[in-house]
Amino acid sequence: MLSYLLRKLLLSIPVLFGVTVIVFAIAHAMPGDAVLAMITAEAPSSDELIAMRRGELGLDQPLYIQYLNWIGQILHGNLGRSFVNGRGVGEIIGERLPMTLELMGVALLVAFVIGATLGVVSALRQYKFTDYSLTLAGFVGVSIPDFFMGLLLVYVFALELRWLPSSGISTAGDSFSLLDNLRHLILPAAALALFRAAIFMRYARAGMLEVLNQSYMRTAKAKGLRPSTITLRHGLRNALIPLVTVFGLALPTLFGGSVVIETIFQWPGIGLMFIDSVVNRDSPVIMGYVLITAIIVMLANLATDLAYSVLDPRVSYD
Amino acid sequence: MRRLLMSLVPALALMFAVVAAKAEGGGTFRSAMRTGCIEMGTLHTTCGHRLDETVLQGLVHIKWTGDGVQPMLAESWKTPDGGKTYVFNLRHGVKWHDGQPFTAKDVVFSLNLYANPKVGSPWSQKLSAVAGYKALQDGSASALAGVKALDDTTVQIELDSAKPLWVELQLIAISIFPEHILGKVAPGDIKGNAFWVNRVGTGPFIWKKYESDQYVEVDRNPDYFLGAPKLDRIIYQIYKDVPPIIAALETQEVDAMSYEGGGVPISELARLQKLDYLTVLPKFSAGLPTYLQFNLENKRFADVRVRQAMLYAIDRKAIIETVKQGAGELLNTLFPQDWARAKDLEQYDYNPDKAKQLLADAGWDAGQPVDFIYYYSDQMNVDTVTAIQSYLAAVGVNIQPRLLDPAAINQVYADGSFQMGFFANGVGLDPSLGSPLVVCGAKPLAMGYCNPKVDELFNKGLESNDRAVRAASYQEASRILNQDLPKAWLWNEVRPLAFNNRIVGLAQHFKEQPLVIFNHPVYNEVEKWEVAK
Repeated sequence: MLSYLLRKLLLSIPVLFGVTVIVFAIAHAMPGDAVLAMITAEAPSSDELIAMRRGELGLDQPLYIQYLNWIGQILHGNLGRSFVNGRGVGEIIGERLPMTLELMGVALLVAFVIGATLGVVSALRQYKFTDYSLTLAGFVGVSIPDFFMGLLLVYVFALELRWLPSSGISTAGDSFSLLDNLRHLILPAAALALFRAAIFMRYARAGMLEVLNQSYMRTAKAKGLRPSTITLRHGLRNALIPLVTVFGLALPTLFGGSVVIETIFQWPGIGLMFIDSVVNRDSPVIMGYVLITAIIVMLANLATDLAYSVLDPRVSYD
Repeated sequence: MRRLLMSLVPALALMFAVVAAKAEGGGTFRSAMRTGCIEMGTLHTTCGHRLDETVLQGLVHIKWTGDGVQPMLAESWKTPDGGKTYVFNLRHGVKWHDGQPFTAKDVVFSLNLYANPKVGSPWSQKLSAVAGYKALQDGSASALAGVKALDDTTVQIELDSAKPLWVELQLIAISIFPEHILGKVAPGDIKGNAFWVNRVGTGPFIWKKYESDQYVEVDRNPDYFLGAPKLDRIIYQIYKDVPPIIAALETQEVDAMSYEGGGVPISELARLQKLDYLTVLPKFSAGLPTYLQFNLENKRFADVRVRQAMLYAIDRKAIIETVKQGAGELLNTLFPQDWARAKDLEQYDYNPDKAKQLLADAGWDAGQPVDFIYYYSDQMNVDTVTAIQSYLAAVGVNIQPRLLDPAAINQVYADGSFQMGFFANGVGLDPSLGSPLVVCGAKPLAMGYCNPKVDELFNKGLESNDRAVRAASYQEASRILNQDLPKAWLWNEVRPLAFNNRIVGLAQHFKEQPLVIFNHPVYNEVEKWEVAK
């Protein structure tokens, strides 16, 4: 186990190195740069000013020098400074990451609980009305993209019913209250969760159906155990194992989804920061974002592998 | 489990209930502001000018009625020599929000800070007429020779030559900073300084708190020199996109929208007009001449007949009526101001046959497509570009539209590959603001157009502050621009705006404002606004 972990961690070094090359190349292949992004018709800049700004930001250096400078900083644990406001990228991300994790964590948890429950219910009622309706609902769920779900929820719950706020993380200017924060969290988290709940439901249903046909389930029934014990202890536990993989794989798409949802709901996390940094061609922030999310996703994959071996004794890494 | 559920029910009920029950009570005005308005930092505040209306201030601000300036930190001023030297008498007894006295030294410091090349402010060119500006730029002087404190409350500013409209057009963009704070910062470090997220000013509201991508809160300044504000606080709520602003306006989470970013989308207008708590101004002029931009250095567009043909080919009236649902006023020259336009302009009425004829005469090659760029990404503008594309295709001009963001557009301008595009620029404050679009060598927007007569008229237009005298120059320029068509003038943009009636004074002042005044602090008597009882 330990050697497996070490091997995986060592392997992630070249992967991360590859990530740095790709993200640097993409960030610098975008047309225009941070200096050009600041020019507006109302404030045209002289060529001297443009050259001066480029010099300040190091954008006048050859690309490979810029890359080496950046990598050098990263090896010293420093993600560089934002071209727009001069603040440290690590500091900016550190400030915003908790808000994104709150949104993603709640969405993932809700999706998992709803998806697993409905999936199991659906499997237990196979080919009955409940199963068909849930399958149909799941089909609708996976077909609606995050952003549309977000707009739909805003329209229904904020504009029409006026039950929930339309955007933001809390009521601006009020001192923080958890209740207020949760009220703001419901819609964006639901927009992210519903799509994933539908996916979890489909896997949970398939997993449960497979388990129901296993001989140990028959044995349990023959022993005269209570039906609830059979479903929960023998059925559910085994049916959830494949879900762990899906759970781990949901993380990268959640980062993507949170970029869109954070923009629609003005949720001040790293997704919103990422969109702004692309518009501003703030390459240190763009690269910092991609690098940090890549590391989180890799750690999550590793955790998924480990969780698998814990949940299923048949799987072991040696 | 059951107990847990029972306890959840009231919590959930409460969660849904607070939204309706919540009343402001104390007088909070919530105003939407777009992302980036405060973080741009380099004394170049663009849309962040809202904070220069309430926290920092200038010597003078433009009045909301658009017809003059309001004395702010300067109580009065005079120019003994017709606009070459200005002497400003500052208000006595004004204090910075941290209690330090405001003096003439702060003014001298601020003007020098804007002009300092090490700060690199794009706004420094507002001071380019000040004596000694060039010497400061090339390093042969360390301060603006033309700016002097005569005593604690008197400042003299000397220009290179007489500019009778200098205060009205240039000085209104300059905010005054506290020397006792920013004077300690090296000019090169001004941009990233913490001051920009914790400003100390002299205005009616005191900076309280900034949460990145969420809001700026400013609280009432009871010692304000024009009288203590009635509102307790203003919260500038930050939004990246326009749709959430419109939603928040509808749910009364904000009282005022931003006018950057296109105003109320045409598709939402009817819905908002039905809400009795909003005042909707459906035809607010944006002072934005909208036009087809040509690269005149490219031979294909050098022939004026080609540019005329494009204008004849497009049924602008139909586009305004259908796609834009009335949100535009036909315009055949650069100036949105009625007084600056000649009455006898060529109208370029829709005439596709004439367009075809002109293109044939000019030897237009219909087989070669035209790269066409634009950046307004809202549905109405995307539809407008599609309509223009089909009108032009009908006469044999095959444009290929590309939606680009500002950085990419500036790249296209910089590398000279630009061919054609759909753009607009704010000229509402004064016709002279149109000069960067058409005077010889103006980069990047003149695009190779150069007519010395136009340059001369633009210079002449600034020689007097009498509107009747100025009108003659601009009207003649409007005629030349109408004939030369350096750009194919389409219409003046109209931007629907909406405001909540809860704030007394807000909609009232916008009703009296003739058009959007972009990027400048506007004096609108904010200290007298209040929450309706």
